[in-house]
Amino acid sequence: MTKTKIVLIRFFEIIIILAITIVFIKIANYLLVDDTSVYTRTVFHDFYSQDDINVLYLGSSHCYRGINPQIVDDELGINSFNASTSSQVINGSYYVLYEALLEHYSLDTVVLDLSYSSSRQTISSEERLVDETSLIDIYLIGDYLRNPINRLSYLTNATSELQYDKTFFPFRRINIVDGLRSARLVLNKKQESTYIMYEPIKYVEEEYVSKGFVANYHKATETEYIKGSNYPELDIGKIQKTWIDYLCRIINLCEKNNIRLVIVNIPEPMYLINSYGNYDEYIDFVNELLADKNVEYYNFNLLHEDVFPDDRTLFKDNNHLNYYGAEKFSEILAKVIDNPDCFGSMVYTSASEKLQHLGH
Amino acid sequence: MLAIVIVTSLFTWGIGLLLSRTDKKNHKQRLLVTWIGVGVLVLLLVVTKIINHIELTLDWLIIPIGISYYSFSSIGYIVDIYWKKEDAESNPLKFMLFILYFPKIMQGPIEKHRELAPKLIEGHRISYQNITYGMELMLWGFFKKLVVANRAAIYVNAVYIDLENYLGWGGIYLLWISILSVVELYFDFSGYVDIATGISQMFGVSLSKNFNHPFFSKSSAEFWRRWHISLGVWFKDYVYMPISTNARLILISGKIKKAHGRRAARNFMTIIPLSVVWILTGLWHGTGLNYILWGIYWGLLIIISTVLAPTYCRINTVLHIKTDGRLWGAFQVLRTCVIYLIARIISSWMSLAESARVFKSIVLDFNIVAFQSVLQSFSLERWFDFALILIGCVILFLVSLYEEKKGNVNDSVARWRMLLRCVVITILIVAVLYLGIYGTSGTTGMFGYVHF
Repeated sequence: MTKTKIVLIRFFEIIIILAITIVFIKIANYLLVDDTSVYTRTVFHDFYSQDDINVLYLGSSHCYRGINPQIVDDELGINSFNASTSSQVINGSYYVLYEALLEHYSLDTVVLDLSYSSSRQTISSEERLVDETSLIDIYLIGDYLRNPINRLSYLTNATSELQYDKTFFPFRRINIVDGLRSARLVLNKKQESTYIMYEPIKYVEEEYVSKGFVANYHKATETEYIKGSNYPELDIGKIQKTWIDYLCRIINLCEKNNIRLVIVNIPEPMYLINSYGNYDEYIDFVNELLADKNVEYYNFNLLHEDVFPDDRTLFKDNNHLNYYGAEKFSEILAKVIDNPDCFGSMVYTSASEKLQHLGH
Repeated sequence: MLAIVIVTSLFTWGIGLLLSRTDKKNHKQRLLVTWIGVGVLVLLLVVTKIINHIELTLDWLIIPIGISYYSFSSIGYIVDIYWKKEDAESNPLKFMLFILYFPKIMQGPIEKHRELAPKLIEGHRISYQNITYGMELMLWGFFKKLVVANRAAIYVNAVYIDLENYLGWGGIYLLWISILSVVELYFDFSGYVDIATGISQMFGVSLSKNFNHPFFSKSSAEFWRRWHISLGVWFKDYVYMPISTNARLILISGKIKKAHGRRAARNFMTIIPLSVVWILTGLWHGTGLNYILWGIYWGLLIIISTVLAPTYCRINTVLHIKTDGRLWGAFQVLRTCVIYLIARIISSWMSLAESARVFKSIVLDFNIVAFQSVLQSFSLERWFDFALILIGCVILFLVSLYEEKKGNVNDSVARWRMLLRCVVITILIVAVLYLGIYGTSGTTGMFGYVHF
């Protein structure tokens, strides 16, 4: 056998092994990972299908349920997109923003929801190691980021190396026996046109509409509405340095790209605000953090009742806006984006003032 | 941690250099330097073992991984220079390369300087064969460790940390767990050796063989010539041989010969060195009572089988046992496996008291009825895991059988048709990727022998 032939055979050998392995990984991911009911898959498909995006909304489920981009677009004649995902923490927001820049969208405004509860969330990879349930929220973004470098950077930052098997091989997130049992079901679901065509996901009282907005038509019952917070009071002094660092990175990124950064707090029931215990302390903390920075901050929880009533019919549960609430809030947000000066006349000076006025 | 390794390496290198520069005729001075070198290294090792045993945690003290392995290599190096078997290395960097060579630092093999150092320093050309052989070996090692050993470890560790809870499952379950722990240890340790040897092979440096299908051994002595070979060789070269050839001991054996005959003298020369070797082997594994008893157990077995070998021969003749037959061979292999299983039960539990409870449960409370209900409660996942472990064992058995009869599997794989070779290698990759227990899925990420 000639030397060239030997080299060729060896080269083909490596190619064959790599090809079969990659095919296996693809098949295993397809058969075992059930993302047929995940909004984010459709959201990111929409995100990459946009001709352009002028205003980008970032945040957690408060944001994708609370801001309807279509309403803002109609009001302002722009093209906005809600790239929020479930429990999106601030490092996730940073990488989604980066992805939008890599996609060359001509962003002029970024609206970042910085809710009280999102500041509670931990983002260090060490803590993720302890609390693996939050990995799902990371993968909701990581699995769909298209730019490989940005994706790799996000996933290695957000997860521990002990979780890299699950991070980079999604099929490893599924228990082997459970995965094999449900493979046929998953395959059937993935063969449906709704999945293949990225059709909007619909549930009984909730559906994905478009541009990242999820509409929920349920009106919270009295019991749901007054439930308050499930968590203890947030210790402001213990908000993680990494959380603050990523906020600064977002601010710098926006500054560098001449993007207007608008930080907001999307309305939550006042029962919830009251149950937090130290909401004003949180507002002061955010104000202090943003002082000297070229950032606008609007806390919509301080809105006067005549602008946005503390009404359970505008919420789906004890903390998320429903479709009707989102409709109303999106109109207000559009006004504030268009004319920031109008915000001052719409709000109380503090949460305690509003709570006192409401008799809490 | 690295600082300790570097300091001890430089110390050993310095002692070696000092020995080489000492007047070869000044025997006392050379002996003193050797004893200082060996003494410091042994002291370091003993202190480490004691700290490990009493689980002492000090913030400023980090025990280097693999200290037992590189200490032995270092001691061997000093002794070899003293015995004039090799010259001291004059370049400290080359010596540190030998000590710190990463594939073997964690769990060995315990290499001799005169054998490994030249391979490390000689020029190496990138070779496709070395790279593919190395990668295949690594892949096989990953399969052993991640698919089988880590899977077995889930069930073994669950019982190890909560024996009380499992005593009610019947002795038969504890026996099963003990067998699983043997499987875990073998796949874990030999898996590591395959990975280390594979990595090294890729660089063109072959490490010494540490396993040679030990569960095909027909006697305890043969088992230890096939299991952790480099440790056995080290003890033979640096403990057994010096004691066996010790002038005073030979003198005493001469007196015994005169008083009690040749056989008694020969037995004496078997018992003393082997006793020392096996007590030290036990202590090398740990300073706990169970390790000492474990050493005594192996020592006794090997001593008894050596001393009584002529008697066994006579019994076999009287009973007309065909010692060269297949059946007898199979019996001997099975006997060795049982002997190893007992040794594993002695050494693997937290304490000797726990080992005793496990023995008691296996012997006196086999409890098949309780085990039947336990079996019924097993989840499909557990059955799946046990099935995979069994498949892993069958594959290993077939590979070992092939290697016993026909030689290295790597060579045979290289001769296969390209497509078949690709398919087999890909199956292994896929098995490791899909079936491997690692990351946070595993309860044990470390290799078992790294603690020794």
